[in-house]
Amino acid sequence: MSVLTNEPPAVKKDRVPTKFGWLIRQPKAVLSVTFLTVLIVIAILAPWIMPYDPIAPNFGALLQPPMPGHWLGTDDLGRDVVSRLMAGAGPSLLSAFASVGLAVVLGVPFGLLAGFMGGWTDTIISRVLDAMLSFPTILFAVGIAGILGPSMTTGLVALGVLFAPQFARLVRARTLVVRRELFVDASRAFGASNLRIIMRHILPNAIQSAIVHAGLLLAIALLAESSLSFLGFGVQPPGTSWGAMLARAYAYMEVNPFLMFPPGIAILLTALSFNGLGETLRVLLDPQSPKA
Amino acid sequence: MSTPLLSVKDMRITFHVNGGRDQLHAVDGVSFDLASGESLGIIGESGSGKSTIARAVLSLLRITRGEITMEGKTIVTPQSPGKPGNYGVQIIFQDPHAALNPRSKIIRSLVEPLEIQGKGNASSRRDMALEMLAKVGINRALADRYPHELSGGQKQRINIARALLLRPKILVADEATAALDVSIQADILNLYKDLQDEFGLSFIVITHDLAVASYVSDRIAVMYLGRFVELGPSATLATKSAHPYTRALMSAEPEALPRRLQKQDRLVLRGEIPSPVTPPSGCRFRTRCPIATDLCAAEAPPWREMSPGHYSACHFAEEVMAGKPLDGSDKPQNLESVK
Repeated sequence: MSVLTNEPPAVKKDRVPTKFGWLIRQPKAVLSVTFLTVLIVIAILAPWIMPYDPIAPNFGALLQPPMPGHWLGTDDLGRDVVSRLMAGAGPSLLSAFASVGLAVVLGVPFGLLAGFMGGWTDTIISRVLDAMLSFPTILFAVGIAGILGPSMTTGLVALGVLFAPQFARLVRARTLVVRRELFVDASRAFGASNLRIIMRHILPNAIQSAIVHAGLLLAIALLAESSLSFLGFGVQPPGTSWGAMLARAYAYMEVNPFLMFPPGIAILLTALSFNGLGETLRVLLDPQSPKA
Repeated sequence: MSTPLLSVKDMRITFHVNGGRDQLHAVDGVSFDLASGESLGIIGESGSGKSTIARAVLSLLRITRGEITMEGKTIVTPQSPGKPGNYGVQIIFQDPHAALNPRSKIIRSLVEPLEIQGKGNASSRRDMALEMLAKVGINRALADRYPHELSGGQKQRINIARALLLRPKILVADEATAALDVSIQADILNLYKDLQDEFGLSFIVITHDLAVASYVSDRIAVMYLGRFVELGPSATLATKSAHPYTRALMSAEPEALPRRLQKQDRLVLRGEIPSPVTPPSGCRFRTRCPIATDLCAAEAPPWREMSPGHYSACHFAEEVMAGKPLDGSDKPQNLESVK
């Protein structure tokens, strides 16, 4: 048949940009990913590579400054700070990931539902979200932990539930825009079900801001876990997390101020890495952002 | 006459506006038939309800009155809205870019209708899609690109290929060339004609561009404020139109001629299309019609057959058809006095 063919121009083959090629040229991405990878490996291998037992007190060496043998010194019970940092990495990371993961799993579906259905569904979900967003997060988590009894699990469940409305809000706002896009109508014209439209067309176009926000929230969750542990509602002694270490260090601030730096800096660097990771993921998942 | 392929009877589509307090009849009592292999053009200004008709024929929105039948079978009524995609009607939208999911590769968008309708398996779907790409003149190497990497013309061809994969009997083109360059428009219009020959397709071409409508359509329906004002063979409408609105549209068509060579009797419509929430009484066009009289305000003009297959809704259809001047020169009344 005689169709006028005015295209396509020959595909340029001399430069094939790959996602990996783009990734390794982003210093922020490389640093974030490297740092987090090392951290996770350390957290997993901690029981085998810790130089000392992190919970066994040594009353002969209390509050030591950094020195050979104890590279970051010892705490108020003479426990090696390096060992405790390693032991605390696991609970700290785990609670950050678990609470943000829970928030995504709870928040995103409600956001999609509210934005897609509109009407009464949207009104009800949105009002509940408003109510939840008006609570101060940490205070509420402390309340829940107080009721259910302090443990790491209740702490992170409380955080997850309290972070969820933020994801719901973000995803709902994008869903409201995306559901009116023409490609949604096109899909509907082929007979697509609502579920298919949501999963295939709306979710991939509405999730970007939630991904970046997850990066930010991981950092916040890490700090929130620290706050909860600091207040005594997170990891319970003799177990440890960075937040718990910070809390103890605080008590001995005037005797040995250095004790606050190792967990503080660990939290800071990890939070920064989470931020970098979120932003990198967003760009990586967007076919329209230039990666050359 | 045998059963038409598609038949729309007395269709009304109502939207609720201003928080549900007001009703807006975007389409108010429209009827038409479409024969197999025929192209029907629907023209009219923005807001006249053209695209609403398109969406209703696709079952993308509910009708509030009337019915749509396909080959004699009722498929859409106000009580039972049709199931989109499974009765042989597909649509090409105005914006070729927005009609493709920006996060899906072309091939993934192409196989979607086949997936939804459960046709073939993963590899045969891909083959069908690539074959259809070739038919619309797109290199299969582009199948693994993303929409933003292609031109508007390429994307519109891809949209056409995608719509054709379900082998529709009717393709609705909703301003499908309006967003494209003129040269690409011509390519796409020629593609319609080729596809019509190859697949025996019927077309409903919705446009505000008279040149597009008369190039591809066998018949043209002229729409104003939710109603058809004239319907007839394209050639008849161009030369012997029986409605002042059609005449005005025809004379508004730009001519690539120096002013001294242009026809003198250009009829310029004044004012805006009135609000469909409160349409004018009687004839809806009377507020902008140069020959409107008191009769037009009092009575809605009936839908009359002027000659075989040529319908008009104007009290003065015969006179307009006979070439009555529309500048109001033979009549003391003008636009202002009718109001």
